[in-house]
Amino acid sequence: MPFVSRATSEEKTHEMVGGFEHIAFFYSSEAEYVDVIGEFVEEGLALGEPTLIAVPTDKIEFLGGILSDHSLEIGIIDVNLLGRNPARLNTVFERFYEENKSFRTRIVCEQSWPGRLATESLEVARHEAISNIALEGRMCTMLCPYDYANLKATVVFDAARTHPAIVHGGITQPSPDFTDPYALCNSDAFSLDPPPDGCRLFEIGYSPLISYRMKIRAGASAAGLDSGKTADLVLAFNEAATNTMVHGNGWGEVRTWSDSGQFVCEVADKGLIDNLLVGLRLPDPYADNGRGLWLANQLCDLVQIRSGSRGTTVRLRMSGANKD
Amino acid sequence: MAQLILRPPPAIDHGDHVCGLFDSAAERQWAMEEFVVAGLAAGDRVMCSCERNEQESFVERLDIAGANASSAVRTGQLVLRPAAQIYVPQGYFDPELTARMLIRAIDKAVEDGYCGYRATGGLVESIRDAISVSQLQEYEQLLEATYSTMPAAGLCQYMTFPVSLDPLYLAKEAHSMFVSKPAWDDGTLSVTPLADRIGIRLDGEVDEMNGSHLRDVVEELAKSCGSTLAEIHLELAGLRFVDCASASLLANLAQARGNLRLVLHDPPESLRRVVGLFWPESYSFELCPS
Repeated sequence: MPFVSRATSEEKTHEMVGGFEHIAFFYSSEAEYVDVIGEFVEEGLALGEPTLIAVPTDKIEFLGGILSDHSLEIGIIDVNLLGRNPARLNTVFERFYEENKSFRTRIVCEQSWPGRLATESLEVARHEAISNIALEGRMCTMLCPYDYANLKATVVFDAARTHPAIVHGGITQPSPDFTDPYALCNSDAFSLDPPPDGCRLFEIGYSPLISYRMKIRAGASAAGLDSGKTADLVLAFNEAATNTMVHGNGWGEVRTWSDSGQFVCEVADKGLIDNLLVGLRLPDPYADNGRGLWLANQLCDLVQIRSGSRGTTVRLRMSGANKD
Repeated sequence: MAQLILRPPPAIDHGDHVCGLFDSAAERQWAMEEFVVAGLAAGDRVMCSCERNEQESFVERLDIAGANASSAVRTGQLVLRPAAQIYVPQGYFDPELTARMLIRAIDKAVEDGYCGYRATGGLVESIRDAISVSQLQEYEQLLEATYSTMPAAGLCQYMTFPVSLDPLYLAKEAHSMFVSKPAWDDGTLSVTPLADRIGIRLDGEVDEMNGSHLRDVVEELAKSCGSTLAEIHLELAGLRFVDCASASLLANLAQARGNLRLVLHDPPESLRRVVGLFWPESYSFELCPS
């Protein structure tokens, strides 16, 4: 029992009244996966802690026994559907906390799997780091399973860097590689690959936005996106471009290209976003501003935001493009 | 008040007694011109209140619009008269006498071979003080009875500024129809009033350049409904794009008024997504089809 082994149930309850606990779970077999998560869930339910499980579709099947035993007590999220963009999960978790704010809560969240696109894995790692900031002080224990035997070493290393504690081989211990999330996010750890040679490039800031939307609409459509995804991408682009107009000195560069079946649209400007949580928290729907990047995250399959002294880059990715 | 019906000026027809509530002289002029052009084209005699010093330019504008108004003035199809000559011919306002003169003018137009009669006029500054609120109310009720039973149509002009609230309220109470606002097009978005419901058709794209104008148009429609529940229809099949900020302006407007519901017909997918994400349970928006 890797979780209760650190303390008796009574002590554990007291300990958990504190802040956010973020634990990576390195598993090596299906049996270990089911056993540990089963114990985690059962323990939480015994303590009266509302529980949410966010795992890929195939893992929902693995956990079928646990889930059917507690179908009325556990929330289930299919990460393949909702969590392709890891930023969306933050909103789901926030709502879960709000609905259960009188209780300590438990979340199982698995976002990395073998074969997942490298860009997506990179963004998962960044969001794992940011979770330590976004959820700081929340009365929540989050257990993040990683397929230790089959994931790339870089993914496992990122998990070790972004989780203060690790469960591995039945032992829970502090992660020796854990890195301060601010320092990690501001380092080159999650830097983006440069746009490919030959990508399409145009500047924004001199004409009405409608003219730029037309270019994005035409480009996305030509790349193979269907009308719905094209509409979503155009809307997300408009929000990013509006930010450039308002916060990025009114001028920026847009690049588009296709990559691994995704249409990519990058908006870059000289502005600075000094908040790592931008685009993650559910905005006030009646506020005058502050919705754009959150909306982009809800619309796009992946949004990569990087900002520093050289400026800000917002890279929007939408799957459904023709593969090269 | 009866169910509110909006009429674009060219759609005003025999039996209609329409209140034109204008925010500016330009808007009033637009409605007058559209009303006169449609009346002449329909083969009606058209009477229009127009001060002497404005008549020449008014006819010139109608000619440019292709109405051949100069010729209509010569033949007697188009009659232009100063407001004082219509409303206070003897130095005072007599609602009954003025209404009888209207009935006579309608009969005369038919006798002269016209299909019917159309009249449009308003209280200019110089005669406004000569007409009391109760007289105005009586006159509008007589007009309602006249237009609804004769081959004639009337467009009553009122300016929202400057006017005291009570006469305006009474004027609105006396009409079953309002003239709609002019169509608007900035090259990116075109806004066209609906003829059969309170609402507008939008074609093009809405973003930070024109979102606040759209909000103003919707607010104006909502105001014309007074304090009753306002259900405003937006026909959006021709709309390609709405940005989040503009959708938010409408949501904030509806929330602030508290009695406004926007019925979105055939909205673009992007607007469906935005409404679903930000205002999923809001009474302010109704998506059709849902």
